[in-house]
Amino acid sequence: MQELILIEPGSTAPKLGKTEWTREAEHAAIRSEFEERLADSSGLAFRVARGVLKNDADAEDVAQESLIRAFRKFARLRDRNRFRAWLVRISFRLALDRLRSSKCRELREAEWMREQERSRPANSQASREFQQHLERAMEELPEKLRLALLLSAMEGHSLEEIAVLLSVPVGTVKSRIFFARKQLAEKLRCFVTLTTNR
Amino acid sequence: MFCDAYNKSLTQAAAAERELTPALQQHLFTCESCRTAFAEEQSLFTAIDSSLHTVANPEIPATLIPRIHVALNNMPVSESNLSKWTSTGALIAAALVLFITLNLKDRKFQNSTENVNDQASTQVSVSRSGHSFPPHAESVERVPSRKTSAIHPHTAPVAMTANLPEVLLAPGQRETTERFVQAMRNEQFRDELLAKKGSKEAVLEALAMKPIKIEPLAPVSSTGD
Ligand SMILES: [Zn+2]
Repeated sequence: MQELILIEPGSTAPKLGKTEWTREAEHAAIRSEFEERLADSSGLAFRVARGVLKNDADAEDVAQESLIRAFRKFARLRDRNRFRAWLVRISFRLALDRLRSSKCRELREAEWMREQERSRPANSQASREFQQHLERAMEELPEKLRLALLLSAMEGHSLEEIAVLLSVPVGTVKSRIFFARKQLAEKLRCFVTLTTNR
Repeated sequence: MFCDAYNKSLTQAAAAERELTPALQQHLFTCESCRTAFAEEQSLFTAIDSSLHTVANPEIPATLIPRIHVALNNMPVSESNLSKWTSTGALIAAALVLFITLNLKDRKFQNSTENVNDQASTQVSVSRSGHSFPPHAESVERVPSRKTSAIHPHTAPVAMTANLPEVLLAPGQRETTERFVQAMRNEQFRDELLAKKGSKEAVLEALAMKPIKIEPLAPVSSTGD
């Protein structure tokens, strides 16, 4: 005859203390709160990283790493705005680090070129070229300007929200975006002329 | 090309997407050169904005959230935001998982993928309570088995309540298992034991236990219930 043993916590030993169960409940609550936050935050982390890396696979790695780090600090980052601000900073920083790892750079560029071909077959050659110039010009922007510009170009981000994400006044956001656009325009002016003259 | 007097203000107005002041509007109305240059400047920013929008709003891969879940589940508990194992239930579960995995590793048994998907027949399952388990927790789910009728005659399931792992034990190991569970409730012992997770022998010695024998179960026909 088979033997079935059912061990219930507390049946063979003293019952667990109330604090232990409270802590367990808290653990579960933190995890579940974090999971709820994932839906809107993972996209933000991905897009920030993608804006820097120009490559889906790398951006996904960075977004994952950022969110794992966020989870480790989640007890201190439960405030939604604080969490998102922290996530933007860490994703941007990790993406820049990854971009700088010269080892993978060539591979990434090649992959990027292939992705461009794949993802926008309908776009004209001129517009694809312009986008490549724009992405290169963005790489040359100072980091603060670049991040502000990237966030402002993301759907659904008002200036006020960007100010919260970057922990700076709205006026600073406006001026960063202005200078970023101006610098891009200086670098890209000749390409627009070329494109339109074609 | 802009007239010198208006160059700066018209360039800035285009970059800032500001509305033109009446004075600038008046100048554009009368100066064709500035009008043309301003239109070019505006089309430059339109091109920049359009490309920026594409760059900044890529489609989010459908794989992103699932892979974050996997990473969270595989995250060593010491690295999670709950630095201490606060749940005795989770500890027992994880220790059993570790213990069984060490045995499974030795046995090197090959597991067919169809068994993995056979949820109804999985007798070792990982807690659903949302706790993080070590990476090897995944492999434990692969303990192959069939329906209850297929249980090896020398084994029997041990069910830990609701969301704790269910494992097969040889008869006569009940006492040992209960001793193990008791031991795991001792915080100091538990910490020492978890510190030994790299060595199977050390874990077994600390528990004064013999290895639990886990073998793949032979499939039997379900007609003889
Ligand atoms: Zn003029």
